[in-house]
Amino acid sequence: MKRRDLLKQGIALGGLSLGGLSWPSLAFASPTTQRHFVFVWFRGGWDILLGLDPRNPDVFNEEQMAFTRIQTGYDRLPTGFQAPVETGVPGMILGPYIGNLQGKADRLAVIRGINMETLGHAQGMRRFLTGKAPVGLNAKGSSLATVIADLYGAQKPISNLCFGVETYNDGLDIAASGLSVDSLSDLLKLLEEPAGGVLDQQSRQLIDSFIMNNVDASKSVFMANALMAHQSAQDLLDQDLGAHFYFDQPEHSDLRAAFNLTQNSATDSSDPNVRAALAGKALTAGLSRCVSIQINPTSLDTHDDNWQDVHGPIQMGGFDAINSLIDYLDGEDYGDGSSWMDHTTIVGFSEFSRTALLNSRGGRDHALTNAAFLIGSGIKAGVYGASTDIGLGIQAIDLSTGLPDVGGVVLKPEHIHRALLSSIGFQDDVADLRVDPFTAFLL
Amino acid sequence: MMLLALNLLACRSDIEQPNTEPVVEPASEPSFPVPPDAPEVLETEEGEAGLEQPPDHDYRRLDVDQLREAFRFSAGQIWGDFVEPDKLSVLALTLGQPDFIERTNEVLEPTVLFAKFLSDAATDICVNVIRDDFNATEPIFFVHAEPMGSDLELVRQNIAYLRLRYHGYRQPIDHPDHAEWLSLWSDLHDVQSEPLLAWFGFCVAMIQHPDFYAY
Repeated sequence: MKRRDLLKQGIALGGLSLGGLSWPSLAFASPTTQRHFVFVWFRGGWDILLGLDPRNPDVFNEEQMAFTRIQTGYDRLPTGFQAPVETGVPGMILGPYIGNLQGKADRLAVIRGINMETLGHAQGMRRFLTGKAPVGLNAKGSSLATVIADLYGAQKPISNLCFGVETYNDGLDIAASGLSVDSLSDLLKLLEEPAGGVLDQQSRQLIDSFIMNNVDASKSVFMANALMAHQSAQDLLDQDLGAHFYFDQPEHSDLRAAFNLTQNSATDSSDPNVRAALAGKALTAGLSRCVSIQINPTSLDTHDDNWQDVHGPIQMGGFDAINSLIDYLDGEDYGDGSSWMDHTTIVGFSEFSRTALLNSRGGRDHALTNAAFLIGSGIKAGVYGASTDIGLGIQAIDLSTGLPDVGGVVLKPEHIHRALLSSIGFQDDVADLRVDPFTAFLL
Repeated sequence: MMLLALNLLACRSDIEQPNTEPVVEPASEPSFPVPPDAPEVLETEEGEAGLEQPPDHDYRRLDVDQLREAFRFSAGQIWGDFVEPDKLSVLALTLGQPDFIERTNEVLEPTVLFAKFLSDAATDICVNVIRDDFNATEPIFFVHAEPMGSDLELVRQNIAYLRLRYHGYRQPIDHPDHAEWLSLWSDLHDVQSEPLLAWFGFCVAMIQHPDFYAY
């Protein structure tokens, strides 16, 4: 029986009552750990040679380029950014623009050699969000954040908050749907009554009660969703959550210090640090289970000679902001002596990477072989998976070790999704990803 | 809201004193001043609008552009005092309208975000609707009822008219649906000192109701 039919049956049997709309969850089991997630999207397609998958320029030099098909281009970068960064983790060197995140190398899982199977921005982004290949441009399935929010149930006011990131819900509880905003001011508009024209409380309650009782939720799933959304919107207002996000106010001085914000820049939604701060605050204020943020408002899509000037700094701005987020969550008490970072997993990704060779205009075009990073609860530091030393190609790996294995499988985003779901207690394929989990990077 | 009422009262010289107890009189047949550009509404043999959906109807939500037109047509307003861009345009991306660069499909689910901003729009728009209609020579909201009156016969007629204008339902004045809306108006009237404020709340409810934004 299809899920939609189950829903209809639930309605017909009176399973959806106005007082307590509820849908069957994805799984009968419950998560085994209280975990939160931050999904960080680097928009535009990042250059992994500058970040997560660099090469030694002494070995991969211009003379060898005809053979290696890899051109680091480091010699075109400013002084101080012309060599990769060594870390203390075996096998982990990071690109010259890894920024302050290099200080977290001993906690960082770097995933290399991910096959995105697309060179389109929208398809690649949707592929990583859902773990499923889009149909044309259209996403297929639910975002991983939606799946996780659904598995945990409606325990948070906004279980699945998205900032500049698309979100998909394919048949799951509407309470798990991503609530997507494009600016801090939009988020505040959502959480607060508008200035002027506010209904008095008694009238508001009368109207809410009328709509909840007058609309027949058994008419359709749409109507049931509409009623739940109406009620949830009012519930959000009642909780007075907006105060958590006026970052320019005196009570948020510690937050501003943690994210290197001034009173003026603290409300600038285009600042990666503001976006990271929003993610951190949404978690620690108890607002969200999953937060997805587009960290860089300026695209990384540098096909021309702007690559050497702007690509690296944009990436580094994102990495630095995430480093601040980690420090912030490390310093926030979860309430039981542990830190919020002990209960949070951060996933960084881009829709694909850029070509190993510079093009004739001095930029890089789109490439299939991608990389990602994870850090936080349940994550084991190290380098997992690998791109080839010829053209940054893709090679098969052993999912249990992360080492190249000609008899292994080609790594795709859905392998990472399954691993994350298994790390919170779901060994079954509850998201219908149809691959085995990539367990190598899990503790 | 009290400020709104006082401002409106100050502007009007021929104010009728509101009755503290609404007068209940027999219902009569409604008359509908249908706007000239109104879409055609089919009537069934029972006299009801042909818009009643079957139980398994696959409802859809108005998109942002359609919602803007619905505001303009029903309430004679856009959200934002006719200042361009209107607030719907400002919130379009957040509400899921495609930019055709990264997003090509519009999100048409009745999400929490949509519900909240519709609520904001409803309160803003209804303030303007009531204000503009208060002294209008050709009102579009108070077509039958007086803004400050509580004559239930006129209230019933106005509700039937508004149900057609805002929700597209042409129904007899004694239709059961109208009784529920009348009950809402009466409840709002009971908690407010002014019928005007009851109508304001009624207007908000009309816009927030799925009959306004779903089809």
